[in-house]
Amino acid sequence: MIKQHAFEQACDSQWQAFDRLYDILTQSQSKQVASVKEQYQFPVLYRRICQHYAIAKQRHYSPSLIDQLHQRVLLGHGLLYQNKTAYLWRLLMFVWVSFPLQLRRHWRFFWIAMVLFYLPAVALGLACYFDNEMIYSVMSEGAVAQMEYMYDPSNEMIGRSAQRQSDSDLMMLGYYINNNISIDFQIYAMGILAGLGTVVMLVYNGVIIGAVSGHLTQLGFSETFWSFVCGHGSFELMAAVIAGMAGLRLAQPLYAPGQYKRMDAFKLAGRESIQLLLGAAFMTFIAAFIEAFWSSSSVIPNGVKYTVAAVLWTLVIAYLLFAGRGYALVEANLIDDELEQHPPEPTENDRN
Amino acid sequence: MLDTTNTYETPEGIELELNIAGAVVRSGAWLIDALLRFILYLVVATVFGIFGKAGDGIVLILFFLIEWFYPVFFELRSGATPGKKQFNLIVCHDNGTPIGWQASVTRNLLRVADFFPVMFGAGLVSMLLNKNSKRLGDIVAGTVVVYRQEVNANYNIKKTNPLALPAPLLLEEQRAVLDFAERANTFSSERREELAQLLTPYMYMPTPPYSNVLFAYATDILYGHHLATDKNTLNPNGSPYTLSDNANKPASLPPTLPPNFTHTDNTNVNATHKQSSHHTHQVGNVQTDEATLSHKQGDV
Repeated sequence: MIKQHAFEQACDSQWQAFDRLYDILTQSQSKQVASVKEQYQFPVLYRRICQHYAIAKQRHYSPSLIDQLHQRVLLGHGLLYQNKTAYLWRLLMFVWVSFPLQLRRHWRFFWIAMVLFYLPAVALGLACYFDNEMIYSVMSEGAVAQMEYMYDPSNEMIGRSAQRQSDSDLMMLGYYINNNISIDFQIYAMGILAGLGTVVMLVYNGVIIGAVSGHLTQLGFSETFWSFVCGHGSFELMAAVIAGMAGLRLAQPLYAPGQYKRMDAFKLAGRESIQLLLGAAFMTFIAAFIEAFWSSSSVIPNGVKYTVAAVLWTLVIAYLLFAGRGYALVEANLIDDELEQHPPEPTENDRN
Repeated sequence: MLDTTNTYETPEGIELELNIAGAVVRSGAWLIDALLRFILYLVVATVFGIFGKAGDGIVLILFFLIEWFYPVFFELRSGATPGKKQFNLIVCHDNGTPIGWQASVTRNLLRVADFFPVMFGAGLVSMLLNKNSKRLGDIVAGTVVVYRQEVNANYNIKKTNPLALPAPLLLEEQRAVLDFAERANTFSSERREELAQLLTPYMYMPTPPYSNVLFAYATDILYGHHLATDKNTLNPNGSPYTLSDNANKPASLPPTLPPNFTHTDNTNVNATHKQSSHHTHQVGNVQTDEATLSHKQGDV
C-alpha cells in the first residue's frame, strides 16, 4: 500500500488543478475566464477527487488529509449539481408560462379558494346591505367610523381629494406594498398548519371586504367606494384568492400525499405552491401601483374609472385563462434541477 | 438520535457528511439577526424619515423588504445570514448543494408559520420531531442548516525518524496519534509529555520522552518508516488494512509487543478493522484497489 506521503505527492497536482479551476469557476468577477474546455475538465477532476477521497478514507490516511479531500468533494459537488439560473429569462418565462400553467393545473384549489373568499363576502355583503347594524358584529365601532369617514363623499380632505399631494401617493404606495403583499404571504404560509390558517384568513378577509362593501353601498357611498376599488380590485382580489390557493396546495400533502413519502410530497408542494404565491405577489405589486396612483385620483371621472376597471378585469381573466397556452408545463419534481443542466456545446475553437 | 451527522450519497458513490445544526445554536443565530434587523429598521427610518411622506413610502417598502427578504438576500450571497455566520452555520439543499432562490424564498416566507403561535412554537416542535432538525420552512423548501466544515489546511507534523507501529491501529486511534502530533505545538513541553505518558499502559512506548515516540509513530503513519519519497514504496502484498509491514521494521527495535495487544496476525487485524468500518464511514462503489490508483496516476 502507498504511504500517505507518496499518495499526496502523486495526487497533489490534480488537487491543485481542481482548486485553481474551482476558484475560476466560482468567482464571477475574476479576471480569468474558464474556457469551455476547462469547464469540461471540472467534472473529470471532481470525480478524480471523489476517488482519492474514497481511497484515503479506506486506507485510513491522516484525518486532516481526509478532511481536506472531503472539503473538496463538498465544494465540487455543490458547484456541479447546483441550480443554474438565468434570472431575466426565467422571470419572463415565469410570468408568461409557468405561473398561469401552474394555476390552471391546480384549478380545483383555485375554485375552493374562490368559494372560501367570495361566499362569505357575498353573504356578509348582502347582510350588511339590508341591515345597517350588521357591520358591528364583524368590525369594531371605531373601525366602522373611520371607514365611513374615508369614503364619505362630503369629505373633501381625505383620500381622493384634489389637494392630495403626489408625495402622499408615494407613501400610500409603500403602505399598499407592505401591507397587501404581507397579507398574501401570511395567507400562504399559514397553509402549512394543516391548511387551517389559510382557510381562516381567506374567510376573514372575505367577511371584512364583503361587510364593508355592503355597508357603504347601503349608506349611499357607492360613487366614492366602488369607483375607488373597482380598478385595482381586479389584480388584488384575484391575487388574494391565488395566495389562498397556494396555501391550500401547501397543505395538501398532509391529507393526500399521493405516491410520495409525506416529506417528499411536502417538498414537491413547496415547489409548486411557491410559484403560485410569487405570481400572486407580483399581481398584488401591480395592484399597489394602480391603487396608489390611479384609483385614488379625484380628477379622473368615474366613468373613465369604470371603463378602465372593466378592461383590467378582462385582462386579468384573459391572462389567467390563456397565457402560456401551447407551452408544456415542466412538471416540478424532485430532481428537475439536475435535469435542467444543459452544458454548452463546445465550439470549434474550444476543441482545438 | 444522538448522532447529528446526516449523510447524502452523491452520484459518484461518495457519502457527503452534513453536520446538522440544532435548535439552540439556531436560536442564537436568530437573535443576532433580529438585533441586526432592528438596527437596519432604525437606520432606514431615520434616514428616509427626513423626506416627509414620500420618505415614509420608501421606509415602508424597505421595511417590507427587510422583514421578508433579509435572510433571502444573505442566503443567496453566501449561504448564511450574518447571525448564522457567527455560529459557523450554512443553509443548503438536502443534497448539500448551495441554496437556490426558490428554496430560500420558500423557507423564509414560511417563517411566519414557524413563528406561530408565539416565538417559533410550531418551528420548535417541528425541529424536535424531525431527525434533521428542520423547521416547517425547511421541510417544505427541502433545506437543512448545517455546520460549515472547518478544514485544518496546513497540518504541520514534526518529521522525525519514523518508528514502526507495534500493532495496526484503528482509524480512530490513528486519528488520536495524528491529532496529538498536529496540536503538539499548542501545548507546553511538560503538558505534551504528560499527555503522551498517559498512553504507556496501553501502547508500546520504548523510551522517554514519550512525546517524541508519538511523533515517530505519527511520522510512520504519514510517511512510512523509511521516509518514503516516491511511489515505489508499494507493498506488493499490502492489504489495505495493513498499516506497516513487520519486515521493514528497523533492527534496533525489539519486535515484541506489549501484552495488551493481541491481534498480531493478519487475519485478526482484518477482522477487527472490518468490524470497525461499520461505525466509521462506508465508502461507496468507488474502486479503491492499487491497480486503479496507478492507472489514474498514469492519466495525469
